[in-house]
Amino acid sequence: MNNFAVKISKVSKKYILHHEKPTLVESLFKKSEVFWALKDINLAVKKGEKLGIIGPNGAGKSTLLKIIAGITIPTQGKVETKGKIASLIDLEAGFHPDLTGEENIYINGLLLGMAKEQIKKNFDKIINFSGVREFIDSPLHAYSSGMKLRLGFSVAAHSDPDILIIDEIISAGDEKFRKKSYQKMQEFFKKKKTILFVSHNLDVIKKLCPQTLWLDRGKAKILGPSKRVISQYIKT
Amino acid sequence: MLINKEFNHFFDLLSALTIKEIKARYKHAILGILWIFINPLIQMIVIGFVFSLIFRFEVKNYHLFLFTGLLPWNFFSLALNKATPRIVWDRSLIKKAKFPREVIPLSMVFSHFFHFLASWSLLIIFLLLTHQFGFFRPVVVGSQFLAIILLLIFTSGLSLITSALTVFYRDIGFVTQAVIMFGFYLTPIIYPFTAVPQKFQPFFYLNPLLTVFSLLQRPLVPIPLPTIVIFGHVLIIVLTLIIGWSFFKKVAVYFPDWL
Repeated sequence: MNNFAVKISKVSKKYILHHEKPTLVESLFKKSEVFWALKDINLAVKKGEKLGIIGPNGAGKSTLLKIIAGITIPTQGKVETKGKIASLIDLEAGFHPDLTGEENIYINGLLLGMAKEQIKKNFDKIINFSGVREFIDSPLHAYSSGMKLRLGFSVAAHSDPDILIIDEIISAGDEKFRKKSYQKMQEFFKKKKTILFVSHNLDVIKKLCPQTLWLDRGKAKILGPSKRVISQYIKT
Repeated sequence: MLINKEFNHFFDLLSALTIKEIKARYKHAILGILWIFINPLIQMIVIGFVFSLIFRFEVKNYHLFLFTGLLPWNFFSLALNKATPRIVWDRSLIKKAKFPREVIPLSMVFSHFFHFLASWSLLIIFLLLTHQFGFFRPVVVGSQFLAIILLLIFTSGLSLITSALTVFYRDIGFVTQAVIMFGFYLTPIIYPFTAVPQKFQPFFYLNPLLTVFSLLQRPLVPIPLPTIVIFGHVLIIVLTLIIGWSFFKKVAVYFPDWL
């Protein structure tokens, strides 16, 4: 199988539990507790496939996304990805409240791995899509939280990734923008992008993703066609 | 090709964050970017009038001696103190995207370096106005340039180490502050190295900043260091960056788990 976008074999992630951030002294004398956020996950996502990921809180969904995005590394196992990854996680992180929308777009784009030229080229598109054009010269602290979210989403959506990682943000902004971002998602779908999508909104998952992975307490419970997985998930 | 692309992106990101740091600082000040010059100017006036009246060492042009030492020291201490807790502060960034983490502490160092260059250019203007042409001999310019580069390298290396360690041990910020405070008095900045009693001088050799500040203050006091010591210090400074950077790279993958 050569046309995979994401391949994960036997991935586990161990966290050391700190009840308090350890001080130097504590860390020398205290034994640490461990917690496995993911255990032996195997997953192969084909190029262009759309995979929904569901599960209760604390199931390890976000951890899995972060491992695939390369933000954190697995304790065990192997992760292979092909192509550029964009993660739509924590959209507003990296915005500076004293800088203008324009300046923030630039910094945020670079942080997401966009090249300088690519940002310049897409500048107008990003602004138009976010719908904050008349505020683009204002410092970000003047933005409403919805506007910030839209700007964040817009930057990430225009980073032209091969693999798109989405963590529960489709509900961002007002109804109008939700529709817009939903359309943008559809656009990604048509472009045969690989999408990994974590959400508690089972209807959206059913609509957008043919396949779904159900995670439960760090383990893969079922992986299969969304309808089947979701109907079983609802029963529990 | 790919390496080149990555390097370009690293450089763009670093300069964008550095500029962000500089811009954000003056954005809502009425005098704006002028503060870059006003601050060091006030500082030099204070140093010049007050400091040099209270302390007096057998140095000709003691106020110039202070300027050439204190301005770089300010850069060193400020940059290190600000860079050290920075990764912890920027935790949301670390958890959001994958990018070279080095840019966080390094952008702090470079933004302070920019401020230092502004204050240093003021000093140069001052030297011209007061006809201190001894400072413009090629050998002096050369050694000061070398000293500033060495200081930048050393500060970058140290801040990579301290900022990374702070993620795992929050105590490091306090330790750094204390060490910087001691360092100020243990480095010949407000006094010449020749004022140090002979028997203590070998202990001072352990401090690589000794060479940096001797080079900076060269036109005012002779460099009393054996050549081997100077080479040793340069070696330590360069190694600090190399070791600091590779240490940082090694532990950076664990940052998200600790923030």
